[in-house]
Amino acid sequence: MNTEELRKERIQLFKDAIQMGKKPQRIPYFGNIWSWKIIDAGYKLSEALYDYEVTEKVLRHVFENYKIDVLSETGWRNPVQVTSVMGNDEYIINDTANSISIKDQCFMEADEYDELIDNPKKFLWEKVVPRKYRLLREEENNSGHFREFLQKYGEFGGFMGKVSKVMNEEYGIPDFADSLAAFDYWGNGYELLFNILRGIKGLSIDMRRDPEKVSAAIEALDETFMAPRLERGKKQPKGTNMDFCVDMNPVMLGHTILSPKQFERFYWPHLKRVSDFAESYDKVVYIFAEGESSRFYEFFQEFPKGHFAIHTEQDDIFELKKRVPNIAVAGGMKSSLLGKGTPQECVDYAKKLIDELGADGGYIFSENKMISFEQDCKAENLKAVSDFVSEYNPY
Amino acid sequence: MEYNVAKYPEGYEKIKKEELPFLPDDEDTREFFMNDLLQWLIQW
Repeated sequence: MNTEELRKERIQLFKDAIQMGKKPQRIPYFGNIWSWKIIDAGYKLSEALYDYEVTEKVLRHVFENYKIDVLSETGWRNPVQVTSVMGNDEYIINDTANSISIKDQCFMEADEYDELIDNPKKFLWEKVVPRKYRLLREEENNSGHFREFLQKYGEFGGFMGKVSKVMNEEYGIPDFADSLAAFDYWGNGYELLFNILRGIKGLSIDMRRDPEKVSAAIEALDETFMAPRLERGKKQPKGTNMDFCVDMNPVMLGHTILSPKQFERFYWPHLKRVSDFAESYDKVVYIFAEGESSRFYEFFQEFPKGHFAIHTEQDDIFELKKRVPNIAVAGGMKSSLLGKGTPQECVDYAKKLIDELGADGGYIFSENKMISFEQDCKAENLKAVSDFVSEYNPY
Repeated sequence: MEYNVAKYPEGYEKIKKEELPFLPDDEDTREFFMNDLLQWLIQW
């Protein structure tokens, strides 16, 4: 099989697992492997994050050593070479601890909701962007810095294009999600308030003090970022795009602080729009749900069958499968086992996951958590597991 | 000529119309790019 045939076969595995019409040839493997791979390839985080050639070597190391079907992070996370040009110093890289973190972010004050709701683009462009980027804030004539940013942004895009070509043509690894369709990665008003604009503490207080304004702000942000992407998605041919494993790849994080009642009010309207679009236009959606989500299963039960996969980070994946049978489930391979167990223990658990969750085909094998730190995984365990999953046929 | 990018709509429009030579001269394409760019800037 040549690499193009392999790429197409891998895409088909994901489609079959999520659409649940026919069982896939085998269970696909979503490599949930993040900054751990840099250490595994023998580099420091700062070496890879500030040098695209090193990042490429890291990616090749993964593809040549582990038989995964797709890779979640291909160099797009932590774009410090681009953001640092305009004075964003939020990223803290610690090569001794092999960690990268981002300072708590809160770029909007509680009394600025009306400004955001009234004109989201004006507010974000004039207030939030300069608060994030020091050189735009401190210098009146700052267009030179912005030109330099655009140059770096273009180089970053060029590198991502090169990565895609290398993955596709040399290794038969497909791109995971369609970036041209209704790709609402963080383009979710609630998540933007939670992650960037108000922070955990601020948003928690705002939802109790002034829920009407929070709802209006979410709607305004969704109209700014989500609506144009949905409109673009509607202009594409109906049906899932066979050049990618999935059409949309939303990430859920801010739901972790919500009660079911709050979820219904502040989060579900966004997901319902995604769901309606996926059903009407026959698209395939892979949600990465960080933290715990079990109190929202009643909502997930409303997703149309054959359109959604949910990758659970901390929930009991066997219970998710049982209680939400209309979706495919993803994840389950415990990072605690990959980090501390033996290769045989890891393979035994991988087999249990595939046998129990993949019986009807609606399962995508993956690590439960984002494999980030050295202790999250041993190389020999990942090799044993990926060898097993690539060869095991449960049917 | 240097100018203040962080003004809306002046700086935003100047970027859209004058600083993106790699895009076709089409308002919809350029506005879509700017929308994505704005989200990228606040996200990362």
